[in-house]
Amino acid sequence: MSFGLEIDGFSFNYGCFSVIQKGSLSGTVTVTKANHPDISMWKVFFVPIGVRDTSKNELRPSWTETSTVVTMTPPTGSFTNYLYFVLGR
Amino acid sequence: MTYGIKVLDKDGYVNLHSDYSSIVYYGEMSVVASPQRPVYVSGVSMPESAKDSNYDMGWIIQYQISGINTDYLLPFYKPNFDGQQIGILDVIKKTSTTWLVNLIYSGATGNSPRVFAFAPLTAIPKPTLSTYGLLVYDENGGLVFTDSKPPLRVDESISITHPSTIRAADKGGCGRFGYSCHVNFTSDKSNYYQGTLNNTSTKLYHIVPSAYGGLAYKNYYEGSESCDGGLGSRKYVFNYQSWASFRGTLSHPIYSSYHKAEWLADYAGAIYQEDASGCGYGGVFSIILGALAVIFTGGGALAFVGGYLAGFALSTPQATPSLKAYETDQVFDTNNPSNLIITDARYYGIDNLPLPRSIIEDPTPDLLPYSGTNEIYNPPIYSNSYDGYYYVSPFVTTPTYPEVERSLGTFWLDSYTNGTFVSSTVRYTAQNIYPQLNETFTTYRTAVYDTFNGYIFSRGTLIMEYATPNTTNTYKLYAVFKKDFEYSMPPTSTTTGIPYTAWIISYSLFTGNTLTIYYNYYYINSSTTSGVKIVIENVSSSITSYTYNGYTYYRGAIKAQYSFPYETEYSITRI
Repeated sequence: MSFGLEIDGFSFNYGCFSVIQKGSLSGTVTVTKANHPDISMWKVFFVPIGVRDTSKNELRPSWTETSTVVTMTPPTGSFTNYLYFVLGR
Repeated sequence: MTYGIKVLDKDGYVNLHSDYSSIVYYGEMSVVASPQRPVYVSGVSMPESAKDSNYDMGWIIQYQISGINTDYLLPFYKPNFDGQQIGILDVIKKTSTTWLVNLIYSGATGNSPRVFAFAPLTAIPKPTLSTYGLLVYDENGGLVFTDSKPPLRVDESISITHPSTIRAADKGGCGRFGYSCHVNFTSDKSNYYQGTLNNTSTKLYHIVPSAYGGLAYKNYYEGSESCDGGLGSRKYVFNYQSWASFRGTLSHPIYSSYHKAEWLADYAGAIYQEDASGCGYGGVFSIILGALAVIFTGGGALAFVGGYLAGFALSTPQATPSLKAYETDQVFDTNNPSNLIITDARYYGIDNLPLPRSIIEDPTPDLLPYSGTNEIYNPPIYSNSYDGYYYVSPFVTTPTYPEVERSLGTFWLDSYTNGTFVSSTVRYTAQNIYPQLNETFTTYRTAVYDTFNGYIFSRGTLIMEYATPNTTNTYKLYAVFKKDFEYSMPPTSTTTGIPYTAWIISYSLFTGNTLTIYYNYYYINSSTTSGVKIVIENVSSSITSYTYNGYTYYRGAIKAQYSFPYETEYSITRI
């Protein structure tokens, strides 16, 4: 290999995301990009924890990204606990 | 950063950083509750066949993993078969060290997918480490990286949104005496999303689809009819009501780069009630409405299926999937996209699969789109004379309406050692697929020659992609074949509307001088009542070529008209 990360003969030079921030989404959560200057690509994943009661007609959280912040928003009517994973590379 | 370790990938992105934890593979989850297809048991009898054909039901199953003391878990699934629909319903922390996953899947009861648990390394206490290699800690002493547990390598991340409806076609109807009647709730709506890498049998997927909803059917009628030999009349009433609750699922057709957002039912039921007054009298029929109210007022539905789900863990929090009956067609949460993460089992040593070969590192080339109506590309009987691997993937000329969900054909996997042929095994045999037909779009349907089962005519698109990282030669060859027949099989006419058969082949860096493709063309003649005749005419001698992105594509065509056997062979010489 000429560069990068190789483990047991396999290149991990592509697509390795790290956990920049994680937690339980109890309200709007904002991650300020300036606090993570090494990170230039962001992804957010939500994992509902617990059984989603489909009779409550709830909606999933959403996230947005600007040049300065990553914002996660639990929608109105969300009854399930959600974990969030802010991944970056 | 002023201290620590940071590793950048070739694109300048961070792939290891001592400030941040990597996500690692923890272990495979095991099935703890057998697959179920819960239905309302006090209503219209619902045979297993109706669950498939009328209610589009999947199987609900529960997985568990223990001994993982983490507050964060990312479950990934590995489909059981090509095109399997899967949807993770719930992720539940049952105890401090036990997690559950409720999931729905398509196929037979024994086709449950495999589920693998990933978690941030910092959230895994005392991971098993080797006695050598690299350990990286953050400033709090948390282990954020170890070569003993390779980090999650995300091949692709795609935002997925489910269709805003479940079914467009008419459901049919059930009326009086509908004691064994069922309407058709099978979903016919889907959204396609194209990535950049092909799906393979070793890919792992994480997504918790947000969408859910249901379809419903009602037929309530009050009328009167003659009785007592026509001397009198009486009132009667019947009420038929049924539903199917749906969850958002995804499928990942192998060797295509598409991901299909679909629907699969998790709970269904039907009820029929009828009452009549005495001859010559009116009547009161409140008993019918009263019985139905029990079902459609929320949690009452679950009580009717409790026995079916008894194998599911009942804990705090509740771990039995939520089920719901629907009185009207509804969908929920189809606006918020969910992110799909794709990785590969081979990165983590799962099943001791070999490391991916260079073709994985070199994504499918951007094949030259070719569009045309009533033109077809014929799948060949391939002359299996070159070493390497054959790959197939959809080739869609109308990306906004990708009719094709997977490719068909018989393909061989040849193994070579230092250029010496070792063995050849059949990897894929012809199968039928039935993509949707929409006359307003170019549709692609495939005829497939199956070397084992005879001739199968179906619909779809076939692409053969050939790439060989040979140890002594570094050539690659991509061949693309498509075929499109007229709307029905057999066709209604043999003299009009018969499409052309065409082919496209391309190569790049091909070290040989000649590529020989053997063609057998088959066509079903409407005058043939049994068997298959081969129809070919007007073999074109002209070859047009395109050069695109380093690949030269050649195109030829024939036209099928008459019903006589024909077999031909093309020899394409490198220019």
